[in-house]
Amino acid sequence: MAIPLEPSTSDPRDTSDAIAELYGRYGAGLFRLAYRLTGTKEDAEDVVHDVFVGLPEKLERYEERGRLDAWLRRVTARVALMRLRSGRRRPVMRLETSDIPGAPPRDLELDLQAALDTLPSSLRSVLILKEIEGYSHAEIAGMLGISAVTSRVRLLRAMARLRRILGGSR
Amino acid sequence: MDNDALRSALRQLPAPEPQPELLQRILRSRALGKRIVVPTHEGPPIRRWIAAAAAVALLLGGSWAISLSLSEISESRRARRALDELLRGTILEREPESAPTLLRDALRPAYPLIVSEALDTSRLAAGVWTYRSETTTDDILTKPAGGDRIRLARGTLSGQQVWTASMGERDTTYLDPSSLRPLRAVAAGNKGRAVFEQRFTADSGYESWEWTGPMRGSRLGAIAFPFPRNALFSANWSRVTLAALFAALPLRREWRGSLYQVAFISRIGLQGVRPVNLRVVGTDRVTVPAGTFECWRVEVEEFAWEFERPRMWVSRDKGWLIKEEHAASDFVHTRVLERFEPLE
Repeated sequence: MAIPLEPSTSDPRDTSDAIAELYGRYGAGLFRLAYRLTGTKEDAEDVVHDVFVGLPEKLERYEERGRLDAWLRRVTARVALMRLRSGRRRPVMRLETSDIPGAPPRDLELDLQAALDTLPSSLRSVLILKEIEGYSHAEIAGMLGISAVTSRVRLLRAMARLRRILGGSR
Repeated sequence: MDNDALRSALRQLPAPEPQPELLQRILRSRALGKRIVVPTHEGPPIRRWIAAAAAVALLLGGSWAISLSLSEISESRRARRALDELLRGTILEREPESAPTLLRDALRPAYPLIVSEALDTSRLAAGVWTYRSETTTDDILTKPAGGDRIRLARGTLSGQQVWTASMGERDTTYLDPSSLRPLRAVAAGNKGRAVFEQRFTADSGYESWEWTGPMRGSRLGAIAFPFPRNALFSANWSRVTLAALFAALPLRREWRGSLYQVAFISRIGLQGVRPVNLRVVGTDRVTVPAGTFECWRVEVEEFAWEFERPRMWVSRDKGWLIKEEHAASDFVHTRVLERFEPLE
């Protein structure tokens, strides 16, 4: 699908409309991907912000091979991983649900999210990209600059650590 | 919770929605003329490689200091305590507080140590075993993964009769013919620019590691063994010696035994002395390119980066390693005997 984006147009409203349309279609999904990789809403919003602000210029080099949403997800994952590598993350403290009056008791979702948060970013990235986003180890290796074997090893370690943490918390 | 249940839970994990103002923030940035260059290529930034090289250099320096101090420790209760601390310290990842007990338990042999007196070295045969490997991912895609050759031959070392066990052209271990303990091991890597040599005595070993090329250097390491002089051990996580030793092991139904893996400074992150636990768990008839064999099914338990439990099938009549299988969460790596060529 070709998106008529002309960064050099004299009427910025055209670009804004196009960005808004793309955001409406894909923004929520890209935000969820960024959230899973970075771990915080604030960093995820920064990632999605950067992706869409840079999108018109980036689309000049889009060769329309494959699906646009898959391409956007790859770009988002790359931006999120760059953010993790640079350490430019916003310091936020995740509230424990026990801090919220009337919060429901902890369940598997909360335990699993908490366990995910404890993983080092190197392991969490591979786990998210493989098990949730469905990328192959070869694709993950390309994104992270590691070998496919390293990607497999990191996935094994991440799963083992999650099982260990969840096994101890229940 | 098994892996499948964990995967299912991960895929159902909810994620929040973005703030409604995010789109306005994006459009405002564009309107203000803000432009962001989104990355076009994968690959790590250069500084990661520099940081990794610096970390390796630090680890080597620290390992050398640790191993030199260990060379002064004799086989004693003090030596065992010191080695316990070293083994804990050389695990790369910091484990949760609940794990140290698990790690300590994992570093003790699970079964009685295999000793020289229990081996039947007359079953060893000189020859070349050629293996073929493949990897099957998600039970769907099977791809060849190369192959290797293990060569076991009689030889001499400093005038002494030995067995030489080698894989390829650059990895050779010299084994004492009666105890099958390594006497010496030589390996080369990085296109011959790195040469490792290890020498072993009854209760200790040392390694020299030299590398040439743009960055020249050398390292020395030494280690005192925390096990008896007649206990079997293997060097450097080498599958070669384990495959060569199977013929001499007294395998039978429900047999169990442990040996040690001794790894030096050249095995970054895996230095130390760790047990390998072997257990016969059944029998199978296995067909591979080299033929059909009645085999012992052996479960191997080793702790490298994680607990790993590869399975091996060893022929009952000759003790050959016929098949090896490493199963992970989404792939299985298999190695099968393609052919055997006797040397005598």
